[in-house]
Amino acid sequence: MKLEINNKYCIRCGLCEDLYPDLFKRNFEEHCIDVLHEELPAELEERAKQAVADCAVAMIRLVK
Amino acid sequence: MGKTVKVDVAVMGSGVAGMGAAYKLVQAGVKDIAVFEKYPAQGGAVSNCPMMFCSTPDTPEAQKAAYEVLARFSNYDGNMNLISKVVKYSSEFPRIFLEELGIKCMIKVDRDPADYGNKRAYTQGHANGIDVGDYYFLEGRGKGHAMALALLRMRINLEKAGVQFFFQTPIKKIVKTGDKVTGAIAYEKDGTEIDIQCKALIVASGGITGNMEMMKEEGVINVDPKFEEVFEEGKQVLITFPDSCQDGDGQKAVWEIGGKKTAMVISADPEVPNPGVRIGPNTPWLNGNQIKVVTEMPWMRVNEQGKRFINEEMSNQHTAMSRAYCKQSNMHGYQIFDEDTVKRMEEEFDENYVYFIFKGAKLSGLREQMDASIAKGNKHMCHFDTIHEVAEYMGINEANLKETIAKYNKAAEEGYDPDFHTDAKYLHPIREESGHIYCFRIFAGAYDTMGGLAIDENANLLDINNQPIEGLYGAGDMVTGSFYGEPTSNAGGTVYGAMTTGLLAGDSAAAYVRENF
Ligand SMILES: Cc1cc2nc3c(=O)[nH]c(=O)nc-3n(C[C@H](O)[C@H](O)[C@H](O)COP(=O)(O)OP(=O)(O)OC[C@H]3O[C@@H](n4cnc5c(N)ncnc54)[C@H](O)[C@@H]3O)c2cc1C
Ligand code: SF4
Repeated sequence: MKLEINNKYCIRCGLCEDLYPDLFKRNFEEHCIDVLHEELPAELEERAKQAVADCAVAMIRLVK
Repeated sequence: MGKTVKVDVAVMGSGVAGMGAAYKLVQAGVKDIAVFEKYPAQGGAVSNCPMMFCSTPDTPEAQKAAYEVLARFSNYDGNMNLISKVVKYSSEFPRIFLEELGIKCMIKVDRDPADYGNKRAYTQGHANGIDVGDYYFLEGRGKGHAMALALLRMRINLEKAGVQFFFQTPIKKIVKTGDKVTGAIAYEKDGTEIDIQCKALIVASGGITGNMEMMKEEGVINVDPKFEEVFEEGKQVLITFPDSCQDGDGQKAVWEIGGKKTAMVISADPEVPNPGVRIGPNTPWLNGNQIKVVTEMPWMRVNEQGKRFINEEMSNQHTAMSRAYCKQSNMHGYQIFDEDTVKRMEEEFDENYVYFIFKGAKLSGLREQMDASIAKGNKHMCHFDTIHEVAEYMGINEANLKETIAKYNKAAEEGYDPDFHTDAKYLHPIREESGHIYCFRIFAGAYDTMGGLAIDENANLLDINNQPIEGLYGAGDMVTGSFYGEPTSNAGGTVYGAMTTGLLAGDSAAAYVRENF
């Protein structure tokens, strides 16, 4: 499993970083949000699902 | 090689003001519209938080009442005709946000027009601006904030309607041919120059909080080196945009072609600095933050000399409060209360209470949250058995503090505060016998600035002779002084002021293009 952010519409509100610093990090140079794990560790999967639900504009996806 | 973009109207900035303008341009049938945005996403300030708006209903009674409050508030210095237009445009918000953009309203606070202007900040009502209408608290998606979602939807609608968006493409210069604005210069991320040719340009690039140097140069914040540390610390909490492009480009570009320069002020948010206070820099709106709840309360505040300096009801009137902090010798205020007050807040709670832009919450576990923050190294809060310990730990003049508390307690007892006329219902004695004394050191954090430019009643930007610059319009936080009065003192940046001027600028630019080309 892998987390993906749709950068075209992500509003960079940073909510995901605040709530899930183990999954996301704000990238100030590129003005975007970096996903921290290429491949999501199994123990973070539940948190990742929550992050998908919490995103302000539904731009986080959990993909196979 | 540079590029050329030829449109009828170009918009600088995609905050609520710029988007409101583009929305009206589309409605008015303007064909070629381009929005230039410095950031990679739309929304501006709105993508960082806001979740409520104020709207004046479109009834003669409400419109007149709101007009009168705003006119009085501006000290009759605002453009009166502009005020009535702003009030009128605000009545469109429920249609735009709720009906067209499908945003749900969580709580609506209906206000009687006869009471407009009577709420001074604190109480269920409005912190961010002036009491001139009904308040709509919106429901966001997930843990997000609704206004950001609204603007994303608006962008998608505008894209469908043919509006071109250029992200990471800041406008840096305005081009004039004779007396008329005929274009602008923007730059792509890789430096490619874009020659924008347009019939009208709408400048809506927000405040300048992304540009610390400019904030100092323009006297928006204190420049004394002794405050450097405060800014460093303050930055931990706010600037509310940890990542912003509000750099003052619009103000500078307009000044460069002879635009009128007006005072800029911070629209501030009093905060106790981190660590352990905010969940993170980006989510001030998340509830359950007890420290935030408490520091919004109108309880006693003193300065480092141990003296009160403001009617504490202003605690929710962030701009006024923050400006008062800035005037204290160390730019801090100290909020002090006792255990009885904490207990009362844990038990009694007014369901309708809305603090700042959030729905109120009962207090629970304040001391635990404070202890957790203190354990993380936070030096801006404490709780002790005695006033002496609090004064010593926080560095407040103890003799004065004790005298102030004695006077304050007397006022609470008598139900009358002769010094600041704080409403008796907010005066709660501070007594060691309650078991405990709490204190927070509060800073003024800036989340946006207002002002810099002036517009007339058509949102036409003014030159140094107060004359409209042909083809050039302005909207949003950067022009609010034109109806709040100069300098833009107590209002705070709001969707009320920003979006309405955007809608007006869109309508005016559309009419200008229709009538002149
Ligand atoms: C934390 C917070 C909470 C708030 N809460 C509320 C609330 O609940 N209710 C309320 O009514 N108001 C609230 N406000 C205030 C409100 O959000 C602002 O007043 C309003 O959004 C300002 O809109 P604007 O369009 O004028 O400016 P902005 O939103 O700042 O938009 C300006 C845009 O221009 C862009 N830009 C900058 N330079 C350039 C350039 N050179 N070229 C192109 N584009 C450029 C910026 O990137 C930005 O996107 C809040 C503000 C903050 C920060
Ligand atoms: S919460 Fe969603 S919109 Fe906000 S920064 Fe994260 S991915 Fe982007």
